[in-house]
Amino acid sequence: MTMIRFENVSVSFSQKNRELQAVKDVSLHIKKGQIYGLVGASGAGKSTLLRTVNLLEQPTSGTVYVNGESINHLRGKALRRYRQNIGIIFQHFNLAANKTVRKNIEFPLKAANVPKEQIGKRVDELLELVGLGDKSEEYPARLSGGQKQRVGIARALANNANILLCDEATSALDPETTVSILKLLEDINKNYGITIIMITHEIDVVKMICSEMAVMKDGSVVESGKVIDIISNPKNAFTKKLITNSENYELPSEIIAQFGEGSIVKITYLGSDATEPILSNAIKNHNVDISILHGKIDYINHIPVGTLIVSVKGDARDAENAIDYIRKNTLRVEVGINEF
Amino acid sequence: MNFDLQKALSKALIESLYMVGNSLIASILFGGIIGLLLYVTREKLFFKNKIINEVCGVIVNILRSIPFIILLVTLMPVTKAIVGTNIGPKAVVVPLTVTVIAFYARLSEASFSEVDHGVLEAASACGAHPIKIIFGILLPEARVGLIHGITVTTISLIGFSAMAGIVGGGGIGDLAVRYGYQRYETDVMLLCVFVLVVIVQGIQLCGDTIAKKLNKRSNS
Repeated sequence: MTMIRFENVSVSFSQKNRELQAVKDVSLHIKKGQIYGLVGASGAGKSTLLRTVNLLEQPTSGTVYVNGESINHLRGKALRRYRQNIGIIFQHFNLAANKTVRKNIEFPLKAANVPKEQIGKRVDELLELVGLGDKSEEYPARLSGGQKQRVGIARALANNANILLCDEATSALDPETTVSILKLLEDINKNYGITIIMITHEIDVVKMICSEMAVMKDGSVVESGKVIDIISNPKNAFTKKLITNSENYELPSEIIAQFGEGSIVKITYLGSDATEPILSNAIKNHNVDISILHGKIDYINHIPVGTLIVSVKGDARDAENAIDYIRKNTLRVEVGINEF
Repeated sequence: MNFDLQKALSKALIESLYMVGNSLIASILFGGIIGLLLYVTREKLFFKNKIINEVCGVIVNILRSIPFIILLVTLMPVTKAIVGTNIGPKAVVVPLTVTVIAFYARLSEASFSEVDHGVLEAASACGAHPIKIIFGILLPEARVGLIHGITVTTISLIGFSAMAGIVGGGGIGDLAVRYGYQRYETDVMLLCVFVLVVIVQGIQLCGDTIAKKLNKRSNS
């Protein structure tokens, strides 16, 4: 079932003498209970698109449907009530510095006129959920980045939100903390069925917890679909670049010189392919030498995807045949260092 | 010395306290409200209204550009209408307040502007009414700036009140000017200036201490 649907959504800002189009004609479907990744370089318009979901940004044209209903027209009281169901967390947490953790989490409950006697109990539940039971009387300045984001998550979920928007929620955190926050988000998604949209420029974040994704560039969506499909076989050149940048397979130049640029091949394969002795068959049947230069296994949404960088040496025709053979039996093969 | 200095000084102190105290309360209240109005009428998250914002801005700027002495004289009819007299400390309170309202309005507006926009946005995103955001987030987050503003305003008030002598307002500044400066009684002048320095230091210290207590931004 579709939870959020963007239909030809455009957002533009009028700046001095010119119109800046931040989002251009975006149409996307986001299923209920899904963790959806929105990736792109900074300035790609992903944050603006995300913010149309709670109308922090108003679409200039097009419609945003949530639960089948258009939300564009919501104003005043109706908008405030609607927003109580949509949580949002931010890169810089945006906690009130002069309020304790408890008071920060209380605020949305008070804003929603939750009866006083229920507020204390609800805050305790939320603190428990995000693992900050002992920090309720601390001020944000005394918390670590990860703890601050946990407070942000508790605040966002205070009124039992059914959608959680994450605007670069892990970009200000170190890798270890990022993983712990992503785990928490994944748990929340599983246990409460909350639909999550994650905005990020880090493709690793998407690989870890998203099931579907869209790639944005200059305000438009250039590619969207299942994360495993896009990561293992990107169609768009920009997506490809984004993925390679995050993978960082930079080989030392002396290695490239030693083997020759043209002989270097990048192989991407699904974990299930790994049981077949593909490389060994290629060597035996095609009379080539294969040297492994680099390799790793990624888990995309818990599915293993492997990458190997090898050098295939031998007679030109043999090498070609060997590469053809590998290509047929794996997900993707790119030849020549400039290709990947 | 041909007058009782101690008596004169204590009378002047009481007059100063009266003028500064009354003006301060009135200007924090009204100046704060005008400052808030200036801020919320230019913020999209609250009640953006260009016309109200600009009208308020122009009025505040006009009040701030008129030298205090001129205001003291031009406001005489207004003063009479409000407090019933044109002379004495009571009469000084009105023009003093008018000048400082505008002053504090700008200072408080600046304090509100310094509040992290993201925090206000987060409050708005959770569906809070703008009034609740103002009282629940904006004011508590701006409180340190507001306290610093009150400190600066109080000290400026003491400075302005020295000109109160023109309408017989009295006060320490006036004592320093009339007895010390105009009559060449250097010791009186020095004593008054010394008292003023002590008072200003004391106010600054108090203001800084309170602000530090209220500031939870740093992790100390």
